[in-house]
Amino acid sequence: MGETISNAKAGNLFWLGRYTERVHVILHFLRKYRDRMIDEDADAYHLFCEKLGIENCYTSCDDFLNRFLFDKTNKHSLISILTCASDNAIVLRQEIKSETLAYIQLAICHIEQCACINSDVDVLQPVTDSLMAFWGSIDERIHKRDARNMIKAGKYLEKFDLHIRFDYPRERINYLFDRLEKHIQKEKSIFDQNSLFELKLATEQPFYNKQEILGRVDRLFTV
Amino acid sequence: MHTLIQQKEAVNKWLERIGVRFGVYKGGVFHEQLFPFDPIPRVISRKDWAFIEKGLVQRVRALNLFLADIYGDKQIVSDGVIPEEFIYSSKGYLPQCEGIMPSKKVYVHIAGIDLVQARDGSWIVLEDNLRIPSGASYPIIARTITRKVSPHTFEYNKITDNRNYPSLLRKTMDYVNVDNGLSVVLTPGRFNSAFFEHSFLAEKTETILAFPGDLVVENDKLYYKGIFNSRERVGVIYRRVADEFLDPLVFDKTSLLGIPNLMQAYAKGNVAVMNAPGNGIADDKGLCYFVPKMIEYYLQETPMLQNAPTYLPYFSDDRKYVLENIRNLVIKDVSEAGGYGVMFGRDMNAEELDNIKRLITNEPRRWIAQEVIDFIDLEVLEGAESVYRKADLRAFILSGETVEVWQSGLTRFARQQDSFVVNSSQGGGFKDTWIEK
Repeated sequence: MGETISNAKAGNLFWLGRYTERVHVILHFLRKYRDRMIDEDADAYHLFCEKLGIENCYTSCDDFLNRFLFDKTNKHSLISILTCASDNAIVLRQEIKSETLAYIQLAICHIEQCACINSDVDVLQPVTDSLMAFWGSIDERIHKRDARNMIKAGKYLEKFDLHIRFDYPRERINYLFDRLEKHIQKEKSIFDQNSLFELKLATEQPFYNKQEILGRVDRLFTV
Repeated sequence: MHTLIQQKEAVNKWLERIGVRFGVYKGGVFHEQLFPFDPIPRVISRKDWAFIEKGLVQRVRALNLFLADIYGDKQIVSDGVIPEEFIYSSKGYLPQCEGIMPSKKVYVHIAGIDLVQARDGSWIVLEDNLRIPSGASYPIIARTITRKVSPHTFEYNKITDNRNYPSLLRKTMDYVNVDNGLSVVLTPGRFNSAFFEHSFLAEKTETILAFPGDLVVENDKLYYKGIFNSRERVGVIYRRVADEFLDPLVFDKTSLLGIPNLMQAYAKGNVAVMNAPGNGIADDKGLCYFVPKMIEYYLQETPMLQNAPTYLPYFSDDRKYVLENIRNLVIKDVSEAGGYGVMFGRDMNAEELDNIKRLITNEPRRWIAQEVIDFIDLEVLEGAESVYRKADLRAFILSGETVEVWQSGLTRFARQQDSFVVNSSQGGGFKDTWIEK
């Protein structure tokens, strides 16, 4: 097989990494907020939406859990994001292999089953498990280095973005930036190195500007 | 076998996990659905298969020679074996292919030939699919999964392994590859009904799955476009795009699925296209009638596999017979595929019969009529109950240096009692096909 990757597939790899990680990280954050909603702050989902940068169109905690997790007509819902991951994965079967694609399929099947019943976030542990297995399979089965870097650049870019949004400590942000930088520098042709440099400077500021950083993150991928 | 049947749900879960689906458009909206799998395999004896295999090889060799002839000297027409009208009035005949000799003279790289078994045990050809026959991926996956969930079944039953289809396909691609270029599978895209198969075969043959826009012709050579306009030469393209959409500069000008100037690169011998454009002339339902004559003409052999008894209303004697016996016949529109345009006279009311008779009289070349074959029913599980349903067999024949029949096939069955329509697009299911060792 040739080594060339088309523009479209580079985009699919990158966005597969982003969407998959978005589901994974959001689920992780959501579990923490769900815990607060039990007996600390029933409206904690307001803050969750604000940090995530999505419209708070929910009328109650239950409404939030139901529609944010399972409403296919809500583009920010977890099921919609997972569908976006699946849409990218399906056209990459040959690059990521059927076995890897299967973990996305398992996650989709599970969340669709949960959507049919009135479920809470606790039932989505198998989605997290499938996504962890997905990343393991990426390491095991993608032999083309550039393809692996593109998907991992997407993953760390998304992770970095979400951790910035949720005000994670500096140490964690720096660690994620290092991981992101490592993959981006290996694929110089499809990432804007000037934006990366500027992003690094912005991240190193003692009091960084969140919006500026998020804007620079979005400009990194150039395909 | 019993343990395999018990594992039906496990098999279906695996099919879901692997994403084995096919797409259908309902009311203009794309849906993906699982292809219903029945765990009871069709079993074909070694003796039966040996006969089928020889007959299929014979048939495909003749069809390949026919295509070379028809886009060349047309000797079979000048010798009066096939009327000229059957060639030039066929939608499948492409004048743009005249004089083009494909790489290694292979036209029919992959043939999907649909057969049924009559109650007397004989095998009968229903139709030849020589353009983009689909469906080989499903039995491979079914076998892979059933061996996983019920290994004992395959220890006790001595069955020929069918998981070599990708290697047969790759061998064919390599044989016709020009200048050792890239091997690609061209898909119309994510929303094609057979997209799953395109991506699966690209994965298993270790070739590149290309989408419209990924390929470009420059200086009469075909290239795969990489990031920022890099180029890699393509030597063979297994296209899953229909002829009419393949090259907008030659065929349908509105096509967004094709590759401009592909036909020029192909005509100059700079790339192999499989299956060859223009093959539709040989799998025209009207031409099926002539295949036994082609075998006699090109190979000087007696045809081993018979067609379903077919009448061509184009011939006045046949037309008279068809109009008089229409209630006992199945009528097929030669320009339709996928189970569409198939009508059983016995199911039509008086008005419908009058209408079809008028159409046959006015456009005799558009129709064929066949005797209804009372083909055997196969056992199918419906819930916990065992029922019997009509089933056909699509056999796959791959031509490269040699002509080889894949030791399996796609057995499709009708879901409804008494229905003869087995097509997946119309709700049919599938079974594995076991060839005894």
